[in-house]
Amino acid sequence: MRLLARLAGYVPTVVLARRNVSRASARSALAVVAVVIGVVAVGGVGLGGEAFTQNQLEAYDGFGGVATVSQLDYPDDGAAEPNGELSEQEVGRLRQAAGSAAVIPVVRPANDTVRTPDGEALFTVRVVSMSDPSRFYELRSGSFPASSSRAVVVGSRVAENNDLAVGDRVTVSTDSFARSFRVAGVLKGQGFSDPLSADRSVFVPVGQFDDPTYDEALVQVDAQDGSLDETVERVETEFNGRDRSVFVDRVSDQRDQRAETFEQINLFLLGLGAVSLLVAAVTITNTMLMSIAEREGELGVLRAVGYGTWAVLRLVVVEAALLGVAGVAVGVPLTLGIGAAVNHALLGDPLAFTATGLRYVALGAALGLGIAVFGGLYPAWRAATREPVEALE
Amino acid sequence: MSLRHRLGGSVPVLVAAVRNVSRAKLRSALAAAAILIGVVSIAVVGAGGEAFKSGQLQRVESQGATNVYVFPGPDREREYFTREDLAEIQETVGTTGVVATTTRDGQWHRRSDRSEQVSLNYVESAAALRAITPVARGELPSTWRRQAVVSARFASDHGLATGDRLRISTGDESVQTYRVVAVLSEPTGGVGSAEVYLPARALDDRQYDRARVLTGSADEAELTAALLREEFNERRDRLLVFELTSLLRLFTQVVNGINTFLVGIGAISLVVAGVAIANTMLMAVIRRREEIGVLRAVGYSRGAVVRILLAEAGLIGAAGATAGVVLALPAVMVANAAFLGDPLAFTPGAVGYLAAAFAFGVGISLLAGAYPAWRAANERPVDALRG
Amino acid sequence: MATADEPEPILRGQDVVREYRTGGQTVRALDGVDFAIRPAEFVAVVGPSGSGKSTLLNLLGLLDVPTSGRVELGGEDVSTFDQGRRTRTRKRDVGFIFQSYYLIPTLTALENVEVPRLLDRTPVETRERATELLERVGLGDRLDHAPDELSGGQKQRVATARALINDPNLLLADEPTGNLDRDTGDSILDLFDDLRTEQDVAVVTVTHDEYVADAADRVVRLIDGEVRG
Ligand SMILES: Nc1ncnc2c1ncn2[C@@H]1O[C@H](COP(=O)(O)OP(=O)(O)O)[C@@H](O)[C@H]1O
Ligand SMILES: [Mg+2]
Repeated sequence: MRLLARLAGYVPTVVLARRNVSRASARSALAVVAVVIGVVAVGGVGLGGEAFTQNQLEAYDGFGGVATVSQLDYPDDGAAEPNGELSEQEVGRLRQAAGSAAVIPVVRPANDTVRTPDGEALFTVRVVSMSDPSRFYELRSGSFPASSSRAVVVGSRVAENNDLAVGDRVTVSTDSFARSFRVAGVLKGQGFSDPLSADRSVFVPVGQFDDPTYDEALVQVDAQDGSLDETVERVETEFNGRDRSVFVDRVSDQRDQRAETFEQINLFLLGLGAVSLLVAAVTITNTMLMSIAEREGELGVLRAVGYGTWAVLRLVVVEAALLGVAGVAVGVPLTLGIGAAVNHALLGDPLAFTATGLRYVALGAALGLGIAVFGGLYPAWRAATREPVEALE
Repeated sequence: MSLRHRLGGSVPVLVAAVRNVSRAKLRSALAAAAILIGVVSIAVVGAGGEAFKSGQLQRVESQGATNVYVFPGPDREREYFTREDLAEIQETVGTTGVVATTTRDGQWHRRSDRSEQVSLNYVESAAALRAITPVARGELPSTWRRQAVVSARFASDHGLATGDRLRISTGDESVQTYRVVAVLSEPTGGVGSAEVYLPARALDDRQYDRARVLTGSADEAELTAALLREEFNERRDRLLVFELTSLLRLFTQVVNGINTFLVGIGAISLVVAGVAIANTMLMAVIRRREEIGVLRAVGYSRGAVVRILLAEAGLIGAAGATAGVVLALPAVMVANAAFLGDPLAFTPGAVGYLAAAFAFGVGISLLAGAYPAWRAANERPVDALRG
Repeated sequence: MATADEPEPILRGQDVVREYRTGGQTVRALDGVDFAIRPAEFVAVVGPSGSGKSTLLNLLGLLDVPTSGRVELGGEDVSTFDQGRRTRTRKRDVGFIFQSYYLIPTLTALENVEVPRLLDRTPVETRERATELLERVGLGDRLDHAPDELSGGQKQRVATARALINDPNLLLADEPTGNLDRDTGDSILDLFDDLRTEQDVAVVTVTHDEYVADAADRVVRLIDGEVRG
């Protein structure tokens, strides 16, 4: 206590300011509440957005060291879009070029429809076929069927939207067949960032296609066996020498692009949330104006007994800053609490804070403090430049 | 006795509120400014989002939401429509126009040694083509035989103009030469668009792989689709019927959800503004403690005191909200111009958001004023007047 | 008790006690006081500072209720009145002149007088009545002056006019001549006399001024919350 008092003697402005703040407790409390809301809005939006981003990006988790390879339609056209097909022979070349890396060709049959046994067509559902989807996906229920069996695995949305469960039957028709299949498994939810849109897909065993044409191929490099970059390099050399004939896209690049998009959206939301801090600044200004109006006489006395303009200015600004500090002190733990709740809900781990997320919290705190000081400037200037004689009238 | 005085006498609470608000001008102005910011952020986000939504919906509608697309169903013995099938469809939909088309992949023989794949769309007549796509340049022939119409994209990609010749073959057939007589205008996206449009009589088999029914509105399209399903698909799926209405509905739902979320984040600032109002009113009642005590002493009921103070809070809110809506208007007009092409094209949804922002601004002010008013009204006059 | 020349009291108090509880301590501001105020009566309440004068006045004006004992209005115990009824009764029957006037700084003299009736939505009648009252207290030429443009005595008269706008039966004044010179004080006393003779208004005034006490029909001396002498 003694030590505290002695320390306090070194920061008289802060001590005076603190007394003044607690003098009008209701008013100060409301100003602090305003800052708290602003800090929580910025930090909470930041953390929430980050958790959402992480949740979405989890879809890429199984795709480490994977690149997609697809045929270019117009080999001589610069603005070509990948929508051609890979022939059996091209897949062979790809395997050769990829060396030890696994090459998994993907079939996306044309004119695909999936129907329930009573003939109802399932909307927005795509048929996909690849060997060994278990390489990339986990099941929520059921099991992966053998390549030759008459059974499919369905994505989580497909199952949810159409009330499908393991054991149900669906009819899949494509260019080459129309057959009834048993649902052998339901995949875990992947989110809309999944490279194969697994949530909305029905995985048919490759064995069902007599003469498959491949729309793309996935190249997967095991981290121990080599680097994806080198493999991609070899594929590029093989296929894109003089004419560009395939499009190679690292899933990690897709992931980065996605992450960037999410970050931009997040920043936009953050800006919207930050408007509330602007309003909090107005509240601080208002509070401080009331405070100095009330203490006109007192401040006049200070000026009269020799406080300079600067000293009074500092006194009032520090008072405003204290409101900001209080707001941040309450707001940051609150934000972290909200963030933990969101993390728990989206990521299953309350403490899954990312560096970026925490940076948003810090940003909210800094802004909260900043706007408090900023909001105090005008009232401080007004109080400091008032003639003492007038104030004491 | 001035008229103003008489009028004022009939709304005494309002008069008192105006007077008291203007007593602490700066304080009231700042509180109103806080409301203003909140109202602007809600109004701009909400009404801007509405403009975006309407713009997108209009685009989708212009790309075929008023059409019903009909394909041969899986339970038909043939995978195409014959003229008899089309007549049956026409009979079901009554006077509404039906346009049957066939899409094929063809080879365009640019030079003798080289050909490129091209998407073809065979249409029954020039009138039918005009009904499904707008024509930008050129004249469509009344009897369509050896002429081709190309999409704007195709024409610009390959430097084609009217008068140019296209040598095209399909499947195993021999190469035919067509003269380009017209170019379609952008956008020609949407269902069933192609690069080159040819007359259906150029098809040797006259088999159509799809038909579209042209209705006047998205709602009519939905009804027509239902009618077709009922007529053709009762026991077996003889037709596949698609309309974009359900897709539109899904889109609207998604955009509405996003918009509500954004407006919600914008509304946080209005909550903070409410705090500002509460603060201002708290100050007001503390300052005017004795005055309010006198009112109570001379016979003002608690209700009357509450009303006077709420009117004050409401007035500040209304001033801020009005200014906010006025300030938001230009921003919304910019959004209207960007998404709808007309700054004054306020959609009902946008007007709704503007009104809601205003109402929310005033409402939150009243709510925020409630506690200070209640506190002032419940103070015992004796205490207030004890100096 | 009531005789021909002593009409029924407007207000009567029996064994009135008023205690204040502040921070664990209990202060007995009134300690078993009896009183009766009859129409047209002029009562002066005197006593040292802190003796309970203002507390008594608040009870008379139904601003407060006793801790124990009875205050009766027309035979009814006012502590059974709810807030609303007390407020309405106060409005109809009681006029207050506060020690520090409490005029509203943003209103003119005329508007200050009108305040008690402002919510009645009778602007024309109210204005006529307020003008008449201000003329009566000698401020006919100061109608549009703000309080800070008036002298202490003038403010006092505005406060008096405000107290009269609802035609009270009982006028309560807390040291109405406290800060005034003798002439102004006299004019206030003359006004009280007029009100009593013309409208049977009872006047109860707290005063330190022996001169005012001499003019009263009856003097109540309070010491430490009890009536003496
Ligand atoms: N609201 C209150 N709370 C606590 N004590 C009070 C209150 N009002 C009056 N008192 C106390 O009651 C006593 C009488 O006060 P008051 O009636 O104001 O005296 P007077 O008007 O004669 O000076 C004093 O001791 C005073 O401190
Ligand atoms: Mg007193």
